[in-house]
Amino acid sequence: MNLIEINNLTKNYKNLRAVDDVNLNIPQGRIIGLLGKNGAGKSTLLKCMLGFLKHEGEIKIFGETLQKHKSSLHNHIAFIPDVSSLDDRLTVQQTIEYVKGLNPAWCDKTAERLLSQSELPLKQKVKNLSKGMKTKLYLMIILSLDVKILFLDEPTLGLDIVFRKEFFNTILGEFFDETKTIIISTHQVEEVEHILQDIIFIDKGKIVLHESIDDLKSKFKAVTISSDREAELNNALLKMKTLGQVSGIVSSEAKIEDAIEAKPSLSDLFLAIVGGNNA
Amino acid sequence: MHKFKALLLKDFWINKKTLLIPIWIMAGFYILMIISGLFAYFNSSTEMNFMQFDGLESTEIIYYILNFSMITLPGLFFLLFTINIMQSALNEDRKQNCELFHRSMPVSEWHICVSKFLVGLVGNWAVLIGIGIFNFIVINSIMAFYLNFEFLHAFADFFHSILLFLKTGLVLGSVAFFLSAIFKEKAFAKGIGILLLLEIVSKILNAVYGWNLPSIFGYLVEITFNFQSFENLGDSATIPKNVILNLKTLYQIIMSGALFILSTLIYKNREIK
Repeated sequence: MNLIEINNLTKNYKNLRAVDDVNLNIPQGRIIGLLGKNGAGKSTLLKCMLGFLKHEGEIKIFGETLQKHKSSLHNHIAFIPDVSSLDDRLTVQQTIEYVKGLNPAWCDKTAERLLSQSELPLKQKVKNLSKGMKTKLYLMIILSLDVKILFLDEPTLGLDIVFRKEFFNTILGEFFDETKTIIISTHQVEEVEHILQDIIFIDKGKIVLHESIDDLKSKFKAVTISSDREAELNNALLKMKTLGQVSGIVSSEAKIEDAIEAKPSLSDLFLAIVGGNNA
Repeated sequence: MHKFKALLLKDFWINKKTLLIPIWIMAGFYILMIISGLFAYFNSSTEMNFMQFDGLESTEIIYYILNFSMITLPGLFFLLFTINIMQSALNEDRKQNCELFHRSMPVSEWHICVSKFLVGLVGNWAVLIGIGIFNFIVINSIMAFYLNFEFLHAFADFFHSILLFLKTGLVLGSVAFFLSAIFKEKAFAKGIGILLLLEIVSKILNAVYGWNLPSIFGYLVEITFNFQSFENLGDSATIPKNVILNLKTLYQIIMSGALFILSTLIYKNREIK
């Protein structure tokens, strides 16, 4: 059984179609990247999956219709929009007690362990915490929940490279196992590439691609040749010129003599399939 | 129940400072009174005689005025702070940019709204009742030296006065709560502004075309401030009838309930963008 089933999902904002007839089946135990340019519809799709937005079509989680069972389904879902969305008016201690009180999936043992590692100032108001500390608090809260689905919507926005790495490594190490599913929405492809198993490309509200990273990468290869042979890459999905050389993304079956071959990066594949320049 | 307790606690933590302000103001007021009293006592060469009730035939009206006025100042604070908390009940999370955090918690919107309504209204009620009882004990203990003290009579006057404020707070708080579901900022001012504008327009239309459009603002004022309760001042026997068991009280409760349900439905159906 699929963990999440989406059928004919469409979301309009006045005259703008943000999500356009999306059909998706998301299985259990996968880490899925939802990649798209700014304004492609990633956040809207996630918010529909959380029941925050009205929409056409149907979303089922654990086989139950989301709109009918929203609050009970949220017992199994955790969500990090971006670390600044914590409530600044509460203290660290109050935030922890509040989340603990509302979530039956709260695990005291995990919470105590994470709290002792985090050095969070319990009596401090959230508004007085640095962005790094807010990240630690959000992670501590979410990782203390024994939920089955974790949605991350541009969670590391505004964080420096150290905290970005720490964030994803902690999620991977502390949260993920084969019974859980993580959906990460981002436009910073390089940041998450190493942890993803499946990939969804979204563009102008439509799902352009949905498959496993391994399958995707096995279909294409990156080749580099000298620039005087550029014509040989005329059929490449993506062509990039560098000093005296030209690189391209081509089908893995294509044969170009004396070319330097490499596995394509996810960002190159994204550019090749979706196009554009701000992925 | 565990979830609801967590919600109540969270809303109390957020509003604690605002809820306690009237207590600090009244404490300051008392300290000022004591200091000025002591100052006057030690510096005055003549004997202090600031309460003179000789020659009055009935003490009932004095008791009523005394008990009403001692609740007026905290009562006005109560109304002010009830409006202040309730007008930001359903929009403050949006302003604070933490709505996604709260709404992703596994709890129904009805529980969220009940908790916010209770903390905003009952919290302020509790503060007013607390201050009121303290004032009642202090003022009536002093007055017992000057008048024939009748506890039941004094308490009935106090009860009458405080109930008027509690009921007014219920209606004004519910209106502010409703407006917080509609407007993001300065909800009460915007809502009342629109009502006043409608009032002016309807008055103009009535005057120009001879129509008979009803006054919504007038109705709201009439139902909020239950002037009927001021009849038979100081008559403790009529209090239950005047203050509790009248039709206007029923309208006030129905209106507040309807506004709460409407606010929650708006909140529940609002998209979180």
